[in-house]
Amino acid sequence: MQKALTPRGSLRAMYETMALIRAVETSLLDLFGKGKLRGTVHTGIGQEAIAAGVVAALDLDRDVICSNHRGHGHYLAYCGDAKGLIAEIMGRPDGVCKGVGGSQHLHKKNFYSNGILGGMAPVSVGMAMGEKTKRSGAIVVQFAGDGALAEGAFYEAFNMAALWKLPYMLVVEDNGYAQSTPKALEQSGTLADRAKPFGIRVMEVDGNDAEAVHEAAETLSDHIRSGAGPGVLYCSTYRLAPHSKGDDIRDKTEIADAWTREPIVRARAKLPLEFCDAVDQAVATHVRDIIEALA
Amino acid sequence: MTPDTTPSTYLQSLNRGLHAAMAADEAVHFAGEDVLDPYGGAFKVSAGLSTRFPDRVHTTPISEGAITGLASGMALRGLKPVVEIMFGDFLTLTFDQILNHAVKFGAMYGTEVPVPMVIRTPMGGRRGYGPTHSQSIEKHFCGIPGLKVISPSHVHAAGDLLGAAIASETQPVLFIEYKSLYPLPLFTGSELLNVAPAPTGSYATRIVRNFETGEPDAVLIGYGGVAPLMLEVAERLAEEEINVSVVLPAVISPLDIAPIAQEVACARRALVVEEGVAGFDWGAEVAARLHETLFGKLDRPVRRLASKPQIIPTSKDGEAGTLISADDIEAAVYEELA
Amino acid sequence: MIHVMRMPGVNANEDSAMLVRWLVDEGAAVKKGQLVCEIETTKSAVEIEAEADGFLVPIAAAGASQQVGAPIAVIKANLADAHDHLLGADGSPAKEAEKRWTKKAFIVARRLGIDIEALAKAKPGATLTEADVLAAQSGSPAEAPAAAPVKPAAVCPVQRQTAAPRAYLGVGQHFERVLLIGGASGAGAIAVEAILRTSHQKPAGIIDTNPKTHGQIVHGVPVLGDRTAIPELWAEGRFDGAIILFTDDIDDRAELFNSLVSEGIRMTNVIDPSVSIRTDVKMGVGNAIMSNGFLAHSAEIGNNNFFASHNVIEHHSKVGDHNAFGPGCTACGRVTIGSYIRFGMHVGIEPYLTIGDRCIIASGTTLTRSVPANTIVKARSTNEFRQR
Repeated sequence: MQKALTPRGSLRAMYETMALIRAVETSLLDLFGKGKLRGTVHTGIGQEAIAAGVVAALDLDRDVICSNHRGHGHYLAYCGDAKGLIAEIMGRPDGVCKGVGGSQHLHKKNFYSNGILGGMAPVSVGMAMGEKTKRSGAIVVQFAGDGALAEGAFYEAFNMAALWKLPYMLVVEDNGYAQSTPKALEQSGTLADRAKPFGIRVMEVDGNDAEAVHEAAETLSDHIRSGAGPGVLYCSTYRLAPHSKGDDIRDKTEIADAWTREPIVRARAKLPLEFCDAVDQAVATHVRDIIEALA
Repeated sequence: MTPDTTPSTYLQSLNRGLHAAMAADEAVHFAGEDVLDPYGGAFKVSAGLSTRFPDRVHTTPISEGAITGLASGMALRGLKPVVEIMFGDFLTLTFDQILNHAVKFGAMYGTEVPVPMVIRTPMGGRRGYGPTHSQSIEKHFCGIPGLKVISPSHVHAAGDLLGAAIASETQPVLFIEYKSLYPLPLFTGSELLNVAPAPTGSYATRIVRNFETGEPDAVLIGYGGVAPLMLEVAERLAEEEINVSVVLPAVISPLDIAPIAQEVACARRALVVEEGVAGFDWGAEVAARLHETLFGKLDRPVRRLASKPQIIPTSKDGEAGTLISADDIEAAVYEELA
Repeated sequence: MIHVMRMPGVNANEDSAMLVRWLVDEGAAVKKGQLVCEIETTKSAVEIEAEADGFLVPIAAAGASQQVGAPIAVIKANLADAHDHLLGADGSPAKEAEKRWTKKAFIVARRLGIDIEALAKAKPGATLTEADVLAAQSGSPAEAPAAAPVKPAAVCPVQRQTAAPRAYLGVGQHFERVLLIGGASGAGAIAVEAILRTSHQKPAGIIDTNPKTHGQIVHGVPVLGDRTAIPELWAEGRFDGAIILFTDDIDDRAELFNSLVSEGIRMTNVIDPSVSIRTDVKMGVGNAIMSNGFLAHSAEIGNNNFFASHNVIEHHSKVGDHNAFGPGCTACGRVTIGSYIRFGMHVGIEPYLTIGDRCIIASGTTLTRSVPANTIVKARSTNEFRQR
């Protein structure tokens, strides 16, 4: 895709990122329906503002991203490589990981993902230890959902990250559901407060507002980069598509309501219509060209 | 690194190996519970490290899973971490980090990503620590693609092996030390036993024979903590005119069967010994591989010897009655030869 | 006269046995061969016969374990004779039984069906060794009594499965170390396996032209370099004999063989143990014969031939040098095969025929007449179908 001329971190640039993520993931669901994909896909449709806002606040030359099973958006925000991603999920040798990793196991430069929930927390902390040792000035950002916070590995990781003041940021994407189970059925207490007793700075933000996410991520990453220790960016959002393909049992009116508050609708309200339509048109053409070339 | 030839115990050898590895490469970091001087680790393998390399020795919370993940992360970002798990029994807490993380990073991204990390841990019984601190559970980690499991005997230069694993391996290594070997001097031969010249390579399988000329009547195969038992049996058998070769691989998974098979091809009778409990054991793999390699060339099926499949009692008699012993091995050799 | 009965060794694994009960009273008159007591090991219960005529006086108490070789009773011609001087100082059975034989001697005696008790009695005070037992078998030493066969049940039923001459089997450095040339390809795997299945050879390394394989481990064997490395490896004593395994270029194969031989490098044969070689077979060097081959009486094989599996060279047939045989070729009796010939698979050659040098014989061909040199024999289907 043609390089955007919009300044990084502006709403226009973040809209371009969100539109690309949305277009790619919508196509993935379509390809899945046609039987073109291997295994399953977990999409983050409705959660694009977090990927776009957080990644725009990072120093992509040195910062490290650890993503999870729902990581297409993080990956596209990081490097924009739609072709490598789609080919990967199709299990093709020209995929970014040669078809070995698939949807949940992506790696390019400083981007790593793994489909095991929670397990990447200590790994991210170890990476932060590595970056601190090397005095690279980099921070390590881990993305995780609300459901994953039930894994014990996070609390061992929080302890070490805070103890050693490591440059580690956890971005929680709270979409209200752990696969099919609503949060109320599996989490006690207040999720956003989980890291506070470790002395970790926590910022809460509306995860559907790209500008708010970006601003908070900049504040928190500056704090972490200064050597003050780890932080948690807690983002509330909603997953519009099923956990993976075709397994949605959530209330239809709840989903319909969420479509009125989702990040792209919110961004379009603040941007010129012609700009948004032009971006939508461009990404649609870009993704269609990729899929045709891979067919 | 030049091999350390100073006479030493297994424990001293490992300690020197760690010191040498950390001195040789600034990327080497050491992390574990209670590893700082003056305590220097529960078994003192890390003694002196934190004094000499204060910035690169990290005492950690009691979080075995997380410090294993920590090592993966450090390795992915260019360091060479060495992690100590205080007791081998606690490896259970690291299993997800080893199986679904450490060994996956190297292979699941389509290109080889280096993950140079060594997890070392003391294993085994004979010290009265009871059911959860005396086990030999490494068989559960054998056969994991991408994980090298190394367990030197006291016939190996244990510290050199550890140093080689830290310096040269690009994918995760699980390094199993046997507590019962720590106080023993490294074995270089005795009046009745001779150590065959080592092939090149630190990890080479070592062979100890109780005869100078002729051929073995039986081959004893084992690793780690059963080595002294097998050597004792070899000495007893020398007095009974029974020739045995004791074959001691250091890399127990993946298994190179060739040096073992070569010795067994002569004897045609082999016994595999391990301190872990019987059933679905390391010896089963060795036996199967030997039968595949030497089908039709063995006089007897390969005999497996292991500890009894039950918990390990704390009491002296209870523990001794559970773990494999020299008497068990000696009796089994006679049965195989009878 | 006083005869001392000792606890017999029932199996090699146990140094002691339990005396369960006496079957005769103290001082009872017994006849040689009469059952006098019952002993038990963890594996068996055995009744013991009186070893002489006379009056039996038990020494070992029933219900107690005794070392093998410990006195358990005396049998006296005259009940009044003193026997204390035959026992330990305190009159009880000696605690530490005198060692009467090594375990190896015991095991070998059982295998050979020799009564080691009888041997031991003939050599009081000595510890019998394996050599004593073997000497008793050959009957050479004058002092050894004629070996008395023991009861069949006492002889271990497990015998060696093979009659391989054990003297040829080596240990460690006594293996012939074979250098495989061209071994990283498919032929290498079967040759390595053949070597590992023998008891006298082991692979020393592989030579391969593909530089990507150098330093790698292929089929469990290190690839040491390309053929330019061979003289140095030989000079360093890294192998004892070489074998050429590639067959795609016969001229290259022959040239390499000749140059290695001219440099004084020893060539060896690699023969899978499943190959059956009969009497009066003659063979040169550098031959690889893979599984299930058959070389019949008086067959002659030259040098540097490669036989894939299931090749049959029948009696009095002759094979020259530098030939490559695919799987399943059969040369019937008194066939003469030249040199530099490539055989496909399943080539059959009728008796008395001659195949000239530098021929190529296609797979599936059955030769019914001799083939002149430099001939290519094409395969032709000879299947004809007619209604019955």
